[in-house]
Amino acid sequence: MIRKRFLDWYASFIFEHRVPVLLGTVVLTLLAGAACLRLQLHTSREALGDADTPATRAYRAFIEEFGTPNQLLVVVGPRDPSQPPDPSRYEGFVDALAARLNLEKAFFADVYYRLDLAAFESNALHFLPLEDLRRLVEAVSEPGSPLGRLQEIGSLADANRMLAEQIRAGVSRGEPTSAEPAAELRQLLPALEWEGRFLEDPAAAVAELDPRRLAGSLAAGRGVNADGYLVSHDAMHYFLVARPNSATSDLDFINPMIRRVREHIVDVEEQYPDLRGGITGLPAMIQEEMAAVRRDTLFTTSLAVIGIALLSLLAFHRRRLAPLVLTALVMGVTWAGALIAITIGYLNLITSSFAAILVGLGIDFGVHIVSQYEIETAGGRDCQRAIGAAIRKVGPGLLASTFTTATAFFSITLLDFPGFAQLGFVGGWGIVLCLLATFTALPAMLAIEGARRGCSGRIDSRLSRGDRVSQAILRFPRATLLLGLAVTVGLALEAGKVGFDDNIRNLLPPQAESLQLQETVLRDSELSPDFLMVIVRDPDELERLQARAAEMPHIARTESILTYLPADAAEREPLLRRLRRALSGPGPRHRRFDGQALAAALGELRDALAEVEELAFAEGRTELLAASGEVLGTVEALTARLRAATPPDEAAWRDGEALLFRKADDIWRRAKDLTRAAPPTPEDLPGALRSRLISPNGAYLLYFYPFGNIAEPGAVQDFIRDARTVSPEVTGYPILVEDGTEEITSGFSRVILVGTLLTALALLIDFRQPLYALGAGLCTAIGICWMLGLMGLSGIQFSLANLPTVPLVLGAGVAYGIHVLHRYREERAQGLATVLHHTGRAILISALTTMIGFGSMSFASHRGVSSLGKILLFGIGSCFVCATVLLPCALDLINRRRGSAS
Amino acid sequence: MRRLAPILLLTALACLAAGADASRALLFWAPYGAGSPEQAAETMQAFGRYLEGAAGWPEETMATSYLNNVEDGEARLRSDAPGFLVVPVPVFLRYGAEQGWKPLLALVTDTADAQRYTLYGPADSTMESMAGAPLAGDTAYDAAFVATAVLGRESAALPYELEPTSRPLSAVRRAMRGEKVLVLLDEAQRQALAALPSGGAELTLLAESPWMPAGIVVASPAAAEADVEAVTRAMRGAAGDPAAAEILTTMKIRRFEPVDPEALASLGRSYRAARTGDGQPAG
Repeated sequence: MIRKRFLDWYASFIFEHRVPVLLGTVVLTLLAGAACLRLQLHTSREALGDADTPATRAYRAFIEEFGTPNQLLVVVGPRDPSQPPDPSRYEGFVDALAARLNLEKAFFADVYYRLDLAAFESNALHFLPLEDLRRLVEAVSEPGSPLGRLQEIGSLADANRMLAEQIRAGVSRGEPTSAEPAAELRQLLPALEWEGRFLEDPAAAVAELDPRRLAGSLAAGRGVNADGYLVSHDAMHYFLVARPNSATSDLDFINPMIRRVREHIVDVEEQYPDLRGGITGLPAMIQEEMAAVRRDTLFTTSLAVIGIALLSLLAFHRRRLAPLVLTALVMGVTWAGALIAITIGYLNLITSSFAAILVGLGIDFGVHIVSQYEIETAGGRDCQRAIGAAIRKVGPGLLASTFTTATAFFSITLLDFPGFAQLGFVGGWGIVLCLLATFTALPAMLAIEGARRGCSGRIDSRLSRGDRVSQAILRFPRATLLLGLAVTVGLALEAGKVGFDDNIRNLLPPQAESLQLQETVLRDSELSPDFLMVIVRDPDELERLQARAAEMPHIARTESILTYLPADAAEREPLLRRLRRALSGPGPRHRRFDGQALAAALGELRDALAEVEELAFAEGRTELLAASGEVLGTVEALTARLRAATPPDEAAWRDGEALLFRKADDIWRRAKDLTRAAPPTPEDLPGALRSRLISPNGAYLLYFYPFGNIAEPGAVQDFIRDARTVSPEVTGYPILVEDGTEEITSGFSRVILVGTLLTALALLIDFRQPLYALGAGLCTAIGICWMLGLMGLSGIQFSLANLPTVPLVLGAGVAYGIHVLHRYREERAQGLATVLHHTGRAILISALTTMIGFGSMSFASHRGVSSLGKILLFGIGSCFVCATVLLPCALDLINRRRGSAS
Repeated sequence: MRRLAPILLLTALACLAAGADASRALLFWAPYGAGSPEQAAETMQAFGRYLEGAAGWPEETMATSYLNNVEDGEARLRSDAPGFLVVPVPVFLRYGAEQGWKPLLALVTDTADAQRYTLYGPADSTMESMAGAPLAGDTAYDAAFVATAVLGRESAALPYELEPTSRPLSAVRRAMRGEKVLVLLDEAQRQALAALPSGGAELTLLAESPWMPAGIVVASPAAAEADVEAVTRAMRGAAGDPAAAEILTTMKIRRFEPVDPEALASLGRSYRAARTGDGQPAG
């Protein structure tokens, strides 16, 4: 009663002082607008949270010691994958790009794309994996093996004859019918092709055999080719790692940095049109995500504004009232902006969407007031009485729904995660200010507009149509409720499928370049971005931790300076001794070039291969048949070249073979030296490797890498648990994300619980009758159940981007039930159809505006934003249907029962 | 004690001899097949060990061997006929009735689900134009089979000269060069033609046999009924048994499956009719 008297007095006051009130709100809006100009946009992720956990402290310590781990990765691949260019083209591309990026000192601390293998030359055998060294020693020591018989080779003819013998021996042992003979046979091709080049230009072919490269290729491990370039496993992609100068994720730094890199890539691509460069790594992902969000924001906001404006024009009987509603809304949003400017001072990545949220929710206030105002004027009331009646009738509902929505928002401030907590503050106060602006400026504007142009209205066909719809809804209340129950049960079962997707990469548009290249990197290289790391001061501790990590089932591999300093000298030494003994002889000694002997040896090789071909054909082994045919073709080409020899050719081959054996002698001596080399020390390693793994202060870094893609369910948790077992001080981006996700998800559970309790309390206070509060609450609960069921049906999961939808739907969705129940209390005597007719239209318009506002986001390319839009669409739509269909039917049934009882 | 030693030795030898009972022997016999008995020995032994285990027999009770020529196979049938054999269809037709073999299972190889024999000639050749030419291939060792199964004739007499060889590719090359030679290829070899640089485009397909099993597992009258059941069960289960997976892969066998007795009988009838008509024993 007091509330009604107050609202009556308030309406009269506004009407009588309409001009000063409107002027006051305009002045306030201008001042607020000026304050909004001070508002800043903080685009860094650091602005979202300042958690002080052991992992974040370790992360900061890592950055202090080694710089940012968030590297930019340039992936160079073929433009046409079916025709990958020559390795020298790739190498030219990355050399040129690295030279350019090295000059970008404002952005990059260093650029790493090639390991200097010269550093491995003198002790390459110590870097060779122990198993490979063991195999090498076995091969060299085995009597009769090609490597063991190297010293017997005195000419190219000898080498070919030896190959023929090997193949024949394999055939007689039945080897071509077992194992993988096709691949083994193809291994002969490089040697035979080299022989072909020798027959064309002996000196150039011999020059190819660089002993330093041979040493380097021994040392080159997975991920690095024989020239030291970072390559994928299939050598189809080359990589360049650029380490930014700053660890910030601020777009003011990242955007120009990536723009610059892209410009360089385009320039280099002009020189190498057969290759294409792409960017990935965390900075690239952040940049692409933000670009997608900006694009989407522009697109979806335009969509929302156009949709809401059209709806406003169509929804109101008097279209000239639509701009008044929108003006009041703009005032409210501006006041909210001013409040943020004064209190927080900036918007972050999450609160930057506050205006869109307030527009979606805040327009409801104006819609309700104007809808009721139109009904009142159509009923013959004058302006003052129509405004008073509108405020009195919709006011309580609006106040209550604002209270519940603001409560839902304020409950988000309970989160420890500042990014979301600020959204709660901004949303809560924003909705209150929108209500305030609509309650003051809109009645004043309606009064002025009514005084100028009259406020008489008429009931048009749309109102009577609304009547028919209301009656239709209430025609079969029992059947409708049963249908609602069935839908609820069905969707509740689907709701079980909804989980939480903690993979933040799934938020990006699927076609994002950085995401696709990330997949390539994860699948085909050793450069997994999902590493963890720990700083270790003591080398013994480093050794202990690395050994411990090797025992962990979910750590695929580790990397530290020790990875490159073999700790197995004791096992290696006897192997090196055996190798030394095997190489103790004088090495291959050149006899003399003999063209006829070479032709005969090639003939033997051809016959041996023909034997393999026969076997392969007889057994239908197409792969082996193709391989033997390929090798046979190469041998036949050599034979043909030999047959076409001229006397100058013969002389060149003679000189070339002598040169070859001098080179072989050099290689033999170097190989002997390698067997005598002392184990390497950190100083022997390439500088780029040292600086990655040892800080200037002498601290060691130990990296942990997971098996494959840690986006698989549970994989990241297993990986982190194992790494923390090795060292509790481990840190890295996967831990920061996991900890942050854990904090946010557990916080949101708290938020939803508190929000629900506060909403329930607000309903009790508002209605002062538990049954009404229960009705509004139950209606919202069913709506949320439907929302979850629709999510399950559409395969949408909760994620970091769409978590705020739950409190939002709770706050906004409950409003529909509140409006229906308030109006029911007011107009119960006139029948439920009238109640529904009067309030249903306003609820429909406000639900549609909200759904258009939020639903427009479902068209976003950013999967996080898109899922946010879809969930809100489902939630608001479901709450609307529950409030306008199920709730009236339930009330109707209760009424009938009471009627029959009385 | 010293006197006992020779007795003990003789007893041990007798036990070993009993263990190597021919009725439980398994012979893979593929005339002109790839590899040699020596190369196959290890795999044969492994397969024998697997069958023993699966059949629940004591170790080393099943002697398994491989033969790839006609003479050795015939000699083995005469001297020490094994209880079980795995043979290609031509061998089954030639010796099956004579030896009283009972077909147990069909063999499916890893190259094709079933076997088919195809006769190729040089470009633009016909069966008539090739009269008197050699007919080469690793299955070209039985005129009645080639005549009935491949050429669909009623008589075993062939106007071609059979030239069995374990080097079918050489014959294929000769035909590709235009030499007057016919080549009889099995299904795997027919598929392998595609891996040749020309894809076998220079050849003309002249005739092909109906589909038949790549091999037949048979039991000879020497095999005990219980052993037949045990071996059949063991072989049927081999494809699904991880213990046999590697052995089957090495032997290029995908699985053993029930044999279609009607199809075999039909082939056998025309084969025997052709041989009888030519005055040869029906076998």
